[in-house]
Amino acid sequence: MDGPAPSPAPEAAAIAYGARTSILAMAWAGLLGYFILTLLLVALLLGDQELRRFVLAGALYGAYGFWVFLKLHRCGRKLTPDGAQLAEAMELHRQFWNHAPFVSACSIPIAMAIFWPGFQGR
Amino acid sequence: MELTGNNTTPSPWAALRRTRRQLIGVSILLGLWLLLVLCYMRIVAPEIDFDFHSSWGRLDRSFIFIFAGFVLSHAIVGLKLLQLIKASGKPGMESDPREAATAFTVFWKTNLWAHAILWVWFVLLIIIAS
Repeated sequence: MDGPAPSPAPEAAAIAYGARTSILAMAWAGLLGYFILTLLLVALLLGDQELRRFVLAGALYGAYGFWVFLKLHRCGRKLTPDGAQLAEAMELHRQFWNHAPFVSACSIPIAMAIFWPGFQGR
Repeated sequence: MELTGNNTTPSPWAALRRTRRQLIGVSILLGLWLLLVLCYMRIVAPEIDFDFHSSWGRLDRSFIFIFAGFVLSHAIVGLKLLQLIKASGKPGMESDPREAATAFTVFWKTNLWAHAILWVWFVLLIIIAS
């Protein structure tokens, strides 16, 4: 005779654990990707001293990448197979989405404001 | 980190349900962003002399595929996001959160792959254009 069906909550925690690698990879990609973008923009400045706005863009994108890394890395580390810290992970996940869309959306007009004079001058 | 204002153990799935409002905002922003890019490509870009036939010559055809991939990857991530919003908003989700957990995992896996592809295309674009 079959025993009682397993509770869906631990099973769901194990399923949510599947997102751990992706979230941690996104955290590192955010850090490295925006760090490379920062280096690229600084390199452009070193090539042309007139492009001071690139440093501002590099600093802003670098800071954004670091913020993404901190938030997602903390969230991803708390996803475990037994779901012991799942509540904290989901709360961190919620906090990440509290700000991420606004920061991302703001980065577009900031980038446009920084680069627009350069495009106009082409 | 302050998780709750009291000593009770917070439910992770309740937190996921509370994230729905932000995720709906994200999906709207994603749609607006895609619309903005599409409008730019349709209205503004043709007016700009990108000089495709000199330094950007090799991008003539590649650019179309890269742009189509850009739109497609955004659409797929948007779809997975909507599935997560739908699953986390179902009545009784907290008592049987398996569907929401699956949607959560699938969304993050898709989001990672979409970003990876976008970054590769971005690098390719720089390499081809340089």
